[in-house]
Amino acid sequence: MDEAFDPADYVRAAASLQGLNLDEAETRRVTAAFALVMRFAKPALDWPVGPETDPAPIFVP
Amino acid sequence: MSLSQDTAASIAADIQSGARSATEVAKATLERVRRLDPQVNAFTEITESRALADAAAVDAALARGKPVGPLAGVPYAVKNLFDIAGVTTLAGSIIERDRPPAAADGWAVAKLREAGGVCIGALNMDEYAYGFTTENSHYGPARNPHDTTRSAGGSSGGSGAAVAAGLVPLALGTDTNGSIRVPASLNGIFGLKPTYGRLSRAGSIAFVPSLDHIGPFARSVADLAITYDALQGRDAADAGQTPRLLEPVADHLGMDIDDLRIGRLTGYFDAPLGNAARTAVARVAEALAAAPVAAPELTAAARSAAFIITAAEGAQQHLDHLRHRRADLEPLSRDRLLAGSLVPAQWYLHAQKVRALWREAMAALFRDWDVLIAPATAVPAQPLGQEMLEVDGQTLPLRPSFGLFTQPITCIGLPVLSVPVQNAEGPLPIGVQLIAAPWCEDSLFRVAATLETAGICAAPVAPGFVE
Repeated sequence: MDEAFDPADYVRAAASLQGLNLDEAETRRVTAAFALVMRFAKPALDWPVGPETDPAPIFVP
Repeated sequence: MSLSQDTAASIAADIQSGARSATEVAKATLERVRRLDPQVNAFTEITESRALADAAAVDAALARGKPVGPLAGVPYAVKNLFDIAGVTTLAGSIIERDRPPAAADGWAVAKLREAGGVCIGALNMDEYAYGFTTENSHYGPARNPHDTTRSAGGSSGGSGAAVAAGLVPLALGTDTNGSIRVPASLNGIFGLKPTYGRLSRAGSIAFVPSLDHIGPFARSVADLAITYDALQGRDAADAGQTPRLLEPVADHLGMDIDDLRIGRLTGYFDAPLGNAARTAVARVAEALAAAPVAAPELTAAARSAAFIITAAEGAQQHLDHLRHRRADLEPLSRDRLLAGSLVPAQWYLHAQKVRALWREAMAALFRDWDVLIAPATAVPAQPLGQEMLEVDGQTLPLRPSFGLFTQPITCIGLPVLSVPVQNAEGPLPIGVQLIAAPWCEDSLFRVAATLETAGICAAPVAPGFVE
């Protein structure tokens, strides 16, 4: 992840994209919650996966 | 023995033999629930008229000589995310209070009624099943019958507390990341999370569709088996259900386990563990002569993948609530849902790839092993309101840490039976997971029955609730 990444900026922008309209107090709380998500997500995101690994479910027309 | 300590099987046998009537059992159960539930806050609704009607139907069938099911007259209750005809399905929320009462029973409730069960009510839970402690801000916390200052676990905390307090012999819950196994562990009872896709979830409110399971709680392996068997069957209404023939397990309980290769998962599953969990796992492993089996290296990544998938899918389920009813959501999970709604798609897809690798790794392990043992929770029940957990020299956020050992397993839908160990250390019980390859629930029941017969695992009514 880019070291310049600012979770608060991301939360503001992504929440706006989702139509969530967070106020400043909410933005602070959600930023803290998102930081926890980042921490818990790290072991999975650090695990190398290649294009040969098909995520389930595989689409069948 | 009093009704509160009777097993479902013995109640059904008494009713079928005429020793007592279903109506008599229902009335006694309703009286006990009204008197004792305020101590544990397991029930959010008592369905008295439904219970008496269900019981009268069983008595009438018996009087006419008609066949009744294996749960004839047995009282049960369900987590309040299952539809009960005529009752508004809350899923622990106040938002759902605006919805009309359910027009019909959900699949599982209908199956239990078909088996002769008597529905006593709906049970407390974490809002929308997002939590491990049932500290519900709207309806109050479910309290642990072994120590009412402590959590009953979650998210099916009301189900765990109701069974452990002897209010009902059976209950239904759901498990997305551990919500059957955590309360089973903390309340000292048996809980089954079947293979993903085995039991229909139709007529229940979803949390994370690709991880959601339903399953039963009971105080004996036989009761758990009878209930699980009653819940099986094809239901086209659940797109996540896998078409399979019925594979009942109740007749397997007396079989020996000499043919089963049993291992104890090590590595990831060795720490952090409190002494009670360590002792409980050791007792079960010793009784089964289980060999140590190294957990795959990517176990931590698998747990993490489950976390990402939960955050993303769970938030998607409630995006409309997050946009329009935010103030009405549970304060303990609202910010986590909001954060989940912002998870990048790339993370979610990466997590799905890790999930696929994890499934392959565990499938390889199950070529050499039939049943694997792991702790259900790192510690027994903790005080309500506690935020952090000190265990094994580590300080962890308490609520998510209850999923440490359960999340990797649900991530790929493996069947798990949580067995209770009493007095592993101190007065509080704790659970151990028995894990099998997909569709091999029968092996889990055979092992659980062996442990119960040997006295290693038992689920007595919590001492303060014995009458």
